[in-house]
Order: sequence, then structure tokens, then C-alpha cells
Amino acid sequence: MTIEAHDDQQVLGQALAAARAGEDRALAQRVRDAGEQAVRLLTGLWRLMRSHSADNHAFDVPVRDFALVLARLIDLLGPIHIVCVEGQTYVNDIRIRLDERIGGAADLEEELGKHQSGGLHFDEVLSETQIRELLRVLAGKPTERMARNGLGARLHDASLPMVRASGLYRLRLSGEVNHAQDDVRDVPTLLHRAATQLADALDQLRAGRALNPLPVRRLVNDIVDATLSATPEVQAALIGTPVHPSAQAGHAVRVCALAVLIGRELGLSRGPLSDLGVGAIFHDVGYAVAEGAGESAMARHPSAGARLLLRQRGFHAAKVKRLLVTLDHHRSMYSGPTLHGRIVCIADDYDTMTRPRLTGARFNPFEALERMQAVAGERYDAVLFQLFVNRLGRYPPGTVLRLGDEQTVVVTSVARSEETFARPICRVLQGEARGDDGGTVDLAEGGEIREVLPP
Amino acid sequence: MAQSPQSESDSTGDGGEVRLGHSPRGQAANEVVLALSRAARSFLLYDPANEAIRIFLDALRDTTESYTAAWGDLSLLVRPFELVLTAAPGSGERGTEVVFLDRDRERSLAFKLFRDGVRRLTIKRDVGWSEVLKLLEVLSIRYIGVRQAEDDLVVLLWKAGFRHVEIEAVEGFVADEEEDETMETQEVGAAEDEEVLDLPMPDLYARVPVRFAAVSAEASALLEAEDGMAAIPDLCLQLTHELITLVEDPADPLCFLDALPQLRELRDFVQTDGQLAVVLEMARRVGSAMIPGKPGQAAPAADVAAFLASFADERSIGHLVRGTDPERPDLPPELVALLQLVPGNHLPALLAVLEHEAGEGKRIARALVERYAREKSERIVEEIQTSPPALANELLRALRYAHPERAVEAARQYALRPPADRDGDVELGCLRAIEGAAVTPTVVKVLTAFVGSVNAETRTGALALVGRRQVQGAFSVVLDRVKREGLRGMTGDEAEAYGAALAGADPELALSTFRDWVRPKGFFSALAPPMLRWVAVSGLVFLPGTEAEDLIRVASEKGGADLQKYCTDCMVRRRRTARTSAAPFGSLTGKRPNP
Repeated sequence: MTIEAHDDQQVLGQALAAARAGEDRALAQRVRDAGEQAVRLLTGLWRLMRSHSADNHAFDVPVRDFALVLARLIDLLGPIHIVCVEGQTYVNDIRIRLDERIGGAADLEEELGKHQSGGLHFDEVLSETQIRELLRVLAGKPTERMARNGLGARLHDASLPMVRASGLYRLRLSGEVNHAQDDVRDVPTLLHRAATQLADALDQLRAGRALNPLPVRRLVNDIVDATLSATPEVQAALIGTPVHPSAQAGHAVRVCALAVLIGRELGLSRGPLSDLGVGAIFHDVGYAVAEGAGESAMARHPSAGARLLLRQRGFHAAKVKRLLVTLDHHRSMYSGPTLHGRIVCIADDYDTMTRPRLTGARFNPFEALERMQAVAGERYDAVLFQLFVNRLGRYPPGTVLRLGDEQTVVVTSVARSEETFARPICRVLQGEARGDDGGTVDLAEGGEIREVLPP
Repeated sequence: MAQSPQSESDSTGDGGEVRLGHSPRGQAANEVVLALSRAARSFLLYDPANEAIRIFLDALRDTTESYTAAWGDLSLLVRPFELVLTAAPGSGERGTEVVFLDRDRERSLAFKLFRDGVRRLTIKRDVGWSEVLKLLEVLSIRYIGVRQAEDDLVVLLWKAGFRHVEIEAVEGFVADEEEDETMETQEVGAAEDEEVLDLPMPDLYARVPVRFAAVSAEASALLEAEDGMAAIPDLCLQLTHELITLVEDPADPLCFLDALPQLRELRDFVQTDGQLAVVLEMARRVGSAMIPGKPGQAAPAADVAAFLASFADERSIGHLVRGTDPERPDLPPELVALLQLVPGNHLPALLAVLEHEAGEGKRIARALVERYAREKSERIVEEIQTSPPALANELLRALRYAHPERAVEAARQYALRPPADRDGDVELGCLRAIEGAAVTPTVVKVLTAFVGSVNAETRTGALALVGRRQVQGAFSVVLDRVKREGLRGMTGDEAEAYGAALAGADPELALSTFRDWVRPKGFFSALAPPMLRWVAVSGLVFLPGTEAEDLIRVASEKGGADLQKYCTDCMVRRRRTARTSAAPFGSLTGKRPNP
């Protein structure tokens, strides 16, 4: 055998071993087993409704079984989303293998389709009585118009608010993602989705379940893509846009974008950037279980976060890095934080100082950067901080400037090059309200900065 | 519209995959995807190191290189059970062709790609083998059924960062546009109205103007290295330290059992990765854990001890010996230190590893057992008596190097068994163990026992030793044996071995005995079996003096043609031996004609 072929086999062997090590087989198998059982029971019960009343004793056993299996799934995963899409069935993102000869996925999809629905969401465990009531509603004749709305109304009328019928689903088409690379207007949507997904993940953790990072990772990957190839304006928007549903989630998402930006400056490739982004987005996960806002709770949030993340089973290098980021992102340079921890520390502090608040940011980005510069090398890794500065520019996005011609502008781009380091692209703010869009000014093409205005 | 497959009758016989493509380009593409499918699936059946995998890899490499050289880009549209060859996007070419069809959901490459969201796969003409191998790696992970919490297929493909493989993939599913409910009614982009919880920022009073400064490639590379795969073991060690520190926190200790699954994962990774130094440091940190007692807490120290012990269990040692750098000739000191650090009896684990490992792993395992034998030879002696033959021999071997005296004792204990209960290979191992030892009563006992072995090879070996070491105490036993065997018949090799043994053990007595066999004086001596003459001639080779030669001559005259020829040979050997003064007893291994 040639040495080269031997090396190839060794590389493949190691990759497969690592993949196997990263698998939480026990959890996946339990979800698959319970998911398959739930789908079969639901489909069977639905069929049975064609010939029997829901009160019939023939329902007793399968209804009880469905209640049990639903409770088991909710215990494992929290709210359950059974989704049918293009002949496949998913329970909370995990594809359920169903033997088509026995029936299952296609039947459920067909029945749901009559109501123009692609899935059912169960927020809580259902009693056997509630399940029979649900079956009555599902077996009812769909309304001719707005069938899904009609189903929703009936569920509500039947006192089943914990069950929701979702719309039809389809698999994403190629090229559908990463709009944010092209259009700054898509950034808020991307960040909002990431924050919503993060909020869901935190809810799961609060409920005592293990983290499933995959849905968050997908959105982080979109942020990575946007950071890698987007325009300077889009990059600026990624790190400076207010995000809902919560300020905490918004902060996490912006820290993620800032960290990815630094990682990009460092030259990390996609995989490491993705791991960095996921680590950054969960850096303050400990606050999900922080009791109160006292000093003690704050001081303990790194270890609290690590405890939450420890629940996830299966080795993965990303998990190791994530746990370390959670623990060391507030540490001084002297105590040897990890690379990701040092990056997140910069991103975290910067966002804390500059994040948009109703009461106004603590510092404008220009001032924040200068204050951070004063402790670079002590609080921050000097090289990483220089990379950060090089990317943000002398006047980071969000800095409000008065120009020589008395125009008031806000910086809307990151630095594009060494030459334009102190000459960003700006949006003109007109009038006292500073809210009207007065077009853009590229200071690289001329213009004098007179002063930096307060935020 | 894609053309249908020509015929399903020309199946490859692989259960579903069919040879497709009616154009030369389609057939070449079919070869590539079949090779890709087979290679990806092969990990279900074979270990990655198996020779069969290499054959699959070679096929994939050859077909890919042939295709791209002849036809350029390979662009495939992914359908649930089919792969359709299309023109590469933007190439201006037209026409499509089905080049892969397999309706078996568990086997089908097309189905797995489609199910995981891949909609188009393009292998560019400039693709290198490393990228094809990476693609295979990602597909193989899916084939072996791994579902990872961190990465699905699309994420894995995305992370791979291919330059010459283009993937159009979808991930997850989305609600139809009209039903999209992902956006809340809340206006996005407005200022946030809550305070964010976090530690207070330090007071940063000073301000220093920022300026652009290029960061050197060296500085960046140093930082980047902290994030590479090579850094993962150190990160694992760091996390171990962090977790143990949390467990030790007297104010709010993390329950050790909550940290344990993660600690196990970290340990397993560094072990599998062959990071001996890191494993050792990890074990040291675990061993140094100072866990505060908590009321009602179930013996945390016992849990820690059990975890520490697992660093030197069979599984762990197996990983470590397999992962040892084959270039290192010696026993890795980290491995030795680890075994010293971890308390408990490691012998069972070492023996299990020794039994199951091969190649480099076995070499290291042997060295470990040898080392163990130096320290705890009594235990090894005991183990030899109860171990299966192959393992007992390994232990004898280790003991021989580590503690020769104990090896003799082990041989003695083994020789106490009834002949029928002894294994021939272990007997030979015992003989090797006593080969260089001083001739003590113990050695004599072993030799005399083995002279009566049921295994011919053992007997021959024991006799050779008796002769070579001049074990006088064994003479009578050998003589009795010769007389018994002489009646039953023996091979030429045995006759030679007996003769040499007798001559070596007691030359004077041997000469007298041989004389009696060659020139019988009494009536009963004349009735002695003729085979004893063969034994006598063999022994006379090694005896000094002219009488020995005379006796060989007499034996030749009285014997048949075979014995005459043997006597001539022996005479030649005797004279040659006398000239060279070579030690005669160790070379009696040549085959002789049977008497």
C-alpha cells in the first residue's frame, strides 16, 4: 500500500471516529423512536375517526399511548413541532424514519394538507380527554376558505390553545439564504431570526433540557457568510442593528457578529468562524438561569452558563470552545483566556458600551474604541484589538459626525482599506430629528470631519 | 427532460445501483458516482484501515480524474433517487441524462443527498484529490448514520469550504411565504428598551486615539494556530482544569457527576488522538481534585477515584498503545507515568490489551507488561498459570527479560502440571525461560518434566538443553526415557537428541552406556532394540577419545545401509567439531533419516 493511500485512510478513519464521538446517540434514538410512535398513533387515530366516534372504546388504548408518547417527547425536547414537508416528517428538526409500506408520513401530510396545514405544534402535554377533543377537531370538515385559520379557530373553541396548526412547509430552495450579503435591509431580519432562535434555545435550557445548537448554528452560518462577502455597509449593519425580541438576545447576536468580524480579520476559515460565532452567541447563556440581577448572579453567570452547556452530550471541538468562552470571556489577559474568549471579550465590551438604548448609548462608537484602545494589551489581546480597529475604522459604524459643510452624518460602513481607515461611508442626517434619510456621503471621495457628536 | 436509464437489466449486481448513461460522458459520470457511492458506503462494512477501502478510494480517484480530464465539470442535479447529469450552470451546454439510480433508501447516495438538502453537486474540472476525499468524508459520515448535534450534512459541506466542489444545498424547511410567521409584529431596528445583564465594565477613563496598523502575518499565524485542530487537545486539557476547578469551588461546587460525562468525552478524545502528554496532565488534574464534602453527597471522592482509574482501564490503554508514535523506539515515559499515577492493579487491563492488540500496539503493550513484570513479578508468575497459552507465553517472555529468576519459577510451576494439561507452546516458552539460567534443582525438575512431554518439539528442546547445559541430574531420567521410547520407536531427530543429551549430561556414564548398546556383551544386552545404536552413535559424536570413534565404526559395520550412512555423517561431524571446537549441543536440529 502506498504511504499516500494509507494517509487517506487514516484521515477518513479519524474523521469518522470524531463524528461518532460527537453523536448523542441515546437522545437521537429516543426522539426517533418516540417520534415515530407519535406520528403513527396520530395518523391511525385520525383514520379511525372516519368510522368511529372519538368516544368509542377502540380509542382508549391508542389515545392513552399517544398521551404518553407526547409527554415523553415534550419531556425530552420541550414544545413539539411535528412537521410534514415534501414526504418527510420531522419532530423538532430530527427527521423521523417511517416505513412507507405501513404508512405514516404521506398519510399525515395528506390529512394535514386538507386543512392547508403542514404541521402541528404541541406546547404542553395533553390529557386523554383533550386528545379526543383534538381528534374531533382534526376530523372535522375543513372550511372552504382559509382552512388553516378555520382549524385554528376550532382548536381555540375546543379549549386547545396549546395545540397550533402551522402553515404548509417546503424545503428551502437553493440560493434562498444569505440575502444579507447583498442588501443592508435584510440584516435586521437575519439578526432577528438569530435572536428568536437564540431565545428559543435559552427557553429550552431554562426548562432543564440539553442545548441543540444546530438551529442556531444555521443562522450563525448565515451571519458568517454575510460577514465574509458582504459590503462594508452590510457588515456595519450586522454589528450595529438593534435586535428584538429581547435586549439580551440582541446583545448576544451582535457580539456574535462582532466576534465573527474579528475572526474574519484574523483569517479564520468558515468552520472556525462558525464555531466562534456559536460560542459568542451563547457567551452569556448563564443569565438564562440567573436569579435576579444581583452582583452575585452576575459574577456567577460564566459558571452557570457552563453548567447549562454541560448538558449537551457528545464530543465536539466546537462544544469545548463554547464552554471555554462561556467561562473565560471576562477574564483578564493575565489568566490566559482562550482565543475565542479574548475575541468575545472585545466584542462583548464594545457592544456593552455602544449598544443602542432608548436612553442612548453609553459612549459613541468612536469614543468607545478610544477608551478600549487605552487598555489594549492589558484587558484585550493587543493583536486582536488591532485587527478589530483595522476593520471598524477610526470612526466605527454608528458614530455621528459633523462635517465641514455642517452636515450631520452617521457612519454606515466599516473600514474598507488602510487609505479609507478614517474616511467611512456615511448617511446624512438632516434636521434636528436626525431621522430623515438625506442620502449617503463617501468621505473617501472628499469631505472634512469637523467633530464627533455624542450618541 | 432527463432521459430514462437505458435498462435496469444491466445491473451491477450491487442491489439497486445500475449502470447508466448512454453517451460516453454519461457513462463516465456514472462511473464516478458509482465509485463515490460505493466508497461512501464501504465504511458500513469495513474498518477505515481495511485494504478494501483503499481499492474503493483508488477507484474513486481514477474515475474522477478520468472524467474531469475528458469532460470537465461534473454537474449533478439531485433528485430523491436519481442523480441527473446536467451541463454546469452557465456553461451554455444543454441536455440531461440520468447517471445514477438507486431506489433503496438505506443505500441510495441520491436519496441521502436529497434527504439532507443537497439539490445540486458540481465537481469542477480542477478539483484535487484532497477535495474529493473531503467530500467523501462528509458523505461517509452520513452513511454510517451519525446524527450530530453540531453539524448536519449541509453544515458539514458548508464548513468544508470547497473551492472546486460546488454544493447547492437547502437546510431545514421554511414556511410558505404567505404563512411566514417568523417575523414578529414588533418593528425591527428600533432601539432596545431593556438593560442587558452583565458584569459592570471597568472604568475606562483614558482615551487613546486609534490608528491603522498592519498586523504581521506571523502574529496572525500565531493566533490562528490557537484555533487549529492541533490546539484542540490543549483546549480539552484547559476545559478539564476549568471543570475540576468548578467542582472544587467551595462556595458553589459543581456536582462531579454533572461534569463527569463531559470529562469522559474530553478524555476519550485526547486518548483517541494519541495525545499522551495531555492525557497524563488530565489524569494529574483529576487526581489532584480536592472536592469539598457536601452533606448528603454520595462519596464524591469515590467517583473521582473511579474516573481516575478509567484512565488506565483496558479501553484507555488500548487507545494509548494504538496511538503511540511508531517512530518512538522506547516505551513512552508519559504512558509509564500515567500507570504510576493511576492507582490499582493494571495487569488485567494490560493483559487484555496484549491479547487483542497487533502490530505497534502489541509492541508497546509488551513493553508495558515487561515493565510491570519488573515491579510485580509474583503476580505475573500467578497469571501465567491461569492464562490462555498465547498470553502465558507473552508473560513468560516479559518475565524472562524483566526478572529471569522468576521466569524459572514460573516454568517450574508450569512443569508441575500433568503432561496432558500442558500446552506445547508454553512448554517451549518455559524452556526459553530456563535456557540461560544456572543449572539448579529447579531447572533440572523442569527439564526432566519436559523430557517426558507429550509434545515432540518440547522433548527435543528439553533434551538439547540437557546436553548443552550438561545437566547431570537428568541423565537417569533421559536414559529411562530412551529405553522406553526405543522399544516404541523414535524419529531420527529424537534419537539424535537423546544421544546428545546423554553425552552432554554425563560423558563417562554415557560412553559406558553407548558401549553396551554398540557392543553388547551379555545376552540381554544383545536383545536391546537396534534403535539404541542410533542413539549411541548420535551421542558418540560428542564424546572425546578414540574409543568413541571405534564404537562408531563398529556400529557402522553391524548396521544396515541407513545406519552406515549415518555413522559416516557422524564421523565427519565429530572430526569437524573437534577441529573447530564449536559447541556441539546447540546445533542438533538437522533432520536425520528415521531408523
